Amino acid sequence: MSKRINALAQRLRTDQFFLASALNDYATSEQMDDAALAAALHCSPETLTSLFLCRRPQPEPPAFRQDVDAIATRFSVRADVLAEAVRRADALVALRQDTSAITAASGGTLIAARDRQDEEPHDTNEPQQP
Amino acid sequence: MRATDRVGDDLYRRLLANDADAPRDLLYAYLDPLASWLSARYWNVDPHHCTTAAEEALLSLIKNPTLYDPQKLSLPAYLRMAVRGDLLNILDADKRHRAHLAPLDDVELYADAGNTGQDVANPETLVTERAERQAKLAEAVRVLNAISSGLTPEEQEVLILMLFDQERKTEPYVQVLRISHLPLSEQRRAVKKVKDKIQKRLRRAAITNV
Repeated sequence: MSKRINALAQRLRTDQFFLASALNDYATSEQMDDAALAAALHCSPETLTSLFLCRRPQPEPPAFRQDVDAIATRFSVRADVLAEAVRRADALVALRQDTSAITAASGGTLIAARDRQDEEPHDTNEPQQP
Repeated sequence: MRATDRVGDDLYRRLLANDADAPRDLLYAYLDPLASWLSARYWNVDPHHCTTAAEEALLSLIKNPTLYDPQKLSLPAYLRMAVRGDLLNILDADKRHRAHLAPLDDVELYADAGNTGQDVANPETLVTERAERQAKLAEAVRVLNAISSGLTPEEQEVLILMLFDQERKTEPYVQVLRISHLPLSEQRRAVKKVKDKIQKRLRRAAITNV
């Protein structure tokens, strides 16, 4: 196995275009290392590298099923596990995007509240708190 | 119409058809050869940069397959052209990084890779040099597309060596033409024959600075 191919496959774990990112997210969510992931898919470590370099299956049906089946058939891996892995990863991506949106919205609200508090006039006749 | 390159044509057709395993096959077919070729071509450049450039050229093609026009160039010739641009970008970024870290003497390490070695720390000089290189690259692509029709993949490689690298030595041409098994005199004769053919086309296209 080429060192360059191996290194690139690892690099693509964070590239959403490639299946590497979906398998990486799935494995992380299942607390699997690469060996466990390969075992779940019924493939060798070399075949796992090949999977990493495939395009991530398109999310919409029927393209999703076609892509999963094509990859599973080509590399003789478990189609059900592959489908589950990609669906889980897609859900995780959607969840992260929702969480980012909520965090950004909350952050905006909190900042506004602090501003209003800062703007309120300071009454010097009020008794000081101990 | 350009010469046939069945492997590249098939891979490209599958990329365009959005085959899920086409990226994998393209990377297996071209990453090592492209990186090794670039490393041998630019022997004084960090091999890691050459590998990264090869990765970037292939990933760009995978994500934007319509950048490549199969009517003009074979896939290997296109990749060898594209990877040079990516290598220049990487060297630019590295130079800017080193300008903040190292004494100017280190610039000499990059002299043969096409840098002027002058005034590295000046960002305006870097921008100007990069713009000039990109303009040369764009012009070379235009010329390449204009005159490569009917050339074999090997002849296209010779054209790129002449245009991009202004290569004077015979050995690189011998390698791309795969004639190293011939006696030296025949190698020179064969190289001259192809270069003359290309020179004729360049003259017809009114390109004289090669």
